[in-house]
Amino acid sequence: MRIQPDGINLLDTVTVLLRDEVLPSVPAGQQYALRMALNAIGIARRQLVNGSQAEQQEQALLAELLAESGSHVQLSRLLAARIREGKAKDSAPLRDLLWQLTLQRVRESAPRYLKQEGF
Amino acid sequence: MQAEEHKAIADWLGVKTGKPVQISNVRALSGGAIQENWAADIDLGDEVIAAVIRCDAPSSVSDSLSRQQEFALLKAAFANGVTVPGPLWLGDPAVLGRDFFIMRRAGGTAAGHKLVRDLSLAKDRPALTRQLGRELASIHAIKPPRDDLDFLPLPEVHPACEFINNARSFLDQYHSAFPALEWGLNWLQENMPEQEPLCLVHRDFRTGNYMVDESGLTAVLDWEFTGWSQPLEDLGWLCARCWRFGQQGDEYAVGGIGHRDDLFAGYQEVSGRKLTAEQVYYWEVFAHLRWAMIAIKQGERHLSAAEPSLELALTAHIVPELELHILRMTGLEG
Repeated sequence: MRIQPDGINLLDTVTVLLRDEVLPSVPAGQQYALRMALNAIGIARRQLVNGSQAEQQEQALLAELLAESGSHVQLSRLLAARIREGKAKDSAPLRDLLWQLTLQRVRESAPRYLKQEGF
Repeated sequence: MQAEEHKAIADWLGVKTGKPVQISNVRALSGGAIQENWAADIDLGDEVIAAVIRCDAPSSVSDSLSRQQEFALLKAAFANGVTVPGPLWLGDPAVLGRDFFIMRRAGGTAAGHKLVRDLSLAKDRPALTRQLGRELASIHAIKPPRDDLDFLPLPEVHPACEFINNARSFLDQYHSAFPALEWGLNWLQENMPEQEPLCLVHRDFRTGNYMVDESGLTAVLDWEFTGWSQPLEDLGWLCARCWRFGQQGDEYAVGGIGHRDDLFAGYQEVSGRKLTAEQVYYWEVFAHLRWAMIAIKQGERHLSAAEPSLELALTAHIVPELELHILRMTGLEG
């Protein structure tokens, strides 16, 4: 068994340290770099929390709707091809899936957008 | 830039102008991997010019515009009344061993985040927004063919069509799939407006790429993506949600600083053309797709280890919110 605190706990602790103690005393010219670092830690943390579960669920959904098997990448490519062929326009389940897949990417990469837009 | 380089430029300018030229106060301004910008005071004996020397970086390898081409664009824009730093002299590459030109130095700041929040800059925001409209109309009044701008390729098909084709070819060979962008590209294809005559389009005209001081606009910068295209492409880019620096609401639709009505009013003053938000909407969707494609490519520069950079890495993570916004703008919402 891994020793506690785990990776997520460490990232949280680093975030608090950088944001509350380091950031206020960093010269203005370097604050942008530190903010970028905090943003990157946030993305990494959210991916770590989600693990591979979200991707596995997506893969299962993709396989079911497209009636094909394959890796997440292969199935995403197939979805992209079907959309380019115009198949999603007449398929509510495909459009729904596209929305859910995209929403999930935003949750990990830019949850701020969802907050701003009132989701 | 080394002291002997200042001297070399001063000597060259001395011969060129027939005046006793001295260069002082040389200091680095923002720049990039492709070019360097140096502030300098150029004393011509009877006049001291606040100038910027813009030159290729020593290891420049780039397919963007050359300094010579950029100088030609600045001259064309300046002659048409666009607020650009006055172009002064195109450098002789033998002087520095690389291309350069010298232009006047505009005052103020270009920082987008600062501009949208600091209301002491360009205090009259409706006036600034109208001014941006006038600037765009003055740029768009430049039409092909132009001998001085013959380095800009003429698109062979509708410029939006050219973008869609290039985006699809890129996505076909890329390691990751982007189903939401495919949806958006289809929308662009199906809703493409009829082609209108080509004109000069800045193609990166947004908050962050123009300078302002307390009283208003001082310079339109960053001409390296300029080309012949459709005029509304520039209006869509400036109004797109992704370039509002976090500002919400219609009163900030124009680059996080103003209302579309003021932008369109300024545009009409110079061009006589009355625009509507509906006409520009297509190009706002287009802007999100174009920015998403650029963001993927910037992320890839990091991912491929060609240019490891946290900023480039995080740019790739902007793509999902652009995707979601494209879906919403094109009528797909769960």
